[in-house]
Amino acid sequence: MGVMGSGRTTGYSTICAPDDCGGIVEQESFTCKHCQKIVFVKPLCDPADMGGLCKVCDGLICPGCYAKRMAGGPCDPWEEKMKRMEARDATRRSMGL
Amino acid sequence: MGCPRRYAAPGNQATITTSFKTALTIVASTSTRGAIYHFVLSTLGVAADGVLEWALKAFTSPGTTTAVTPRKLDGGDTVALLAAGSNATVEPTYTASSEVFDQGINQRATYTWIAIPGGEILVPATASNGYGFVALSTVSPAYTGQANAQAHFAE
Repeated sequence: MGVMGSGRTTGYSTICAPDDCGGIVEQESFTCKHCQKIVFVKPLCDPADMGGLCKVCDGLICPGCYAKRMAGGPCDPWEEKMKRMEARDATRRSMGL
Repeated sequence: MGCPRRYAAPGNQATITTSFKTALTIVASTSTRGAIYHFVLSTLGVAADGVLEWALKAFTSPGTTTAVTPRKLDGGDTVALLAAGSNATVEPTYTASSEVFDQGINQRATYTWIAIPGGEILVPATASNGYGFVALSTVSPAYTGQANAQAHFAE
């Protein structure tokens, strides 16, 4: 079942070019739950070509993050990355750095 | 995010070269996260068949840009907490391998991306961090004119 059929895409793009440069091209996309990369989805493509599903956070992830997960890497959603960045920044600012 | 405030920030890079130059930065606020949900990329030069590579990358320092006041999309909102900059003369310090968008786009084309809630590019509430729209053109006929980027963000 493709991503489009599951209703998981969260982005949409259009390229408006002259007809001899391809005309109007529309694409759906999703944002990787782990790294925020915008991944474009081709209709009816093999789901393995556009990444995968992280079974921990149940989010669609890009091919790079999927490869890391398959190699044994942890689930590290962008939300958690942001919390760490913000905590480090808050600590530095509280120390006047 | 209950009813987020939304803003538009236009930017440009006056001269595209063979190395990445920043057209628009969205700079974080330590008070709130931001969410980039829409952007448009285009050029203003003479029509030709050059190709620009556009990328959206994270930075840890915003460099030197011309300040851009984010426009309120709802006139009743307060001024934006996030900041924006255009036409960098000193490039931001970009994080390696942080591209969330990287595409080659024909010079004649206008590119639009929009996200539904849940698909936005989130800007962490971390001082001096943010995202920058960068472009270069190396493939002949290389484009050397002005390139424009406009982003809408919520906070």
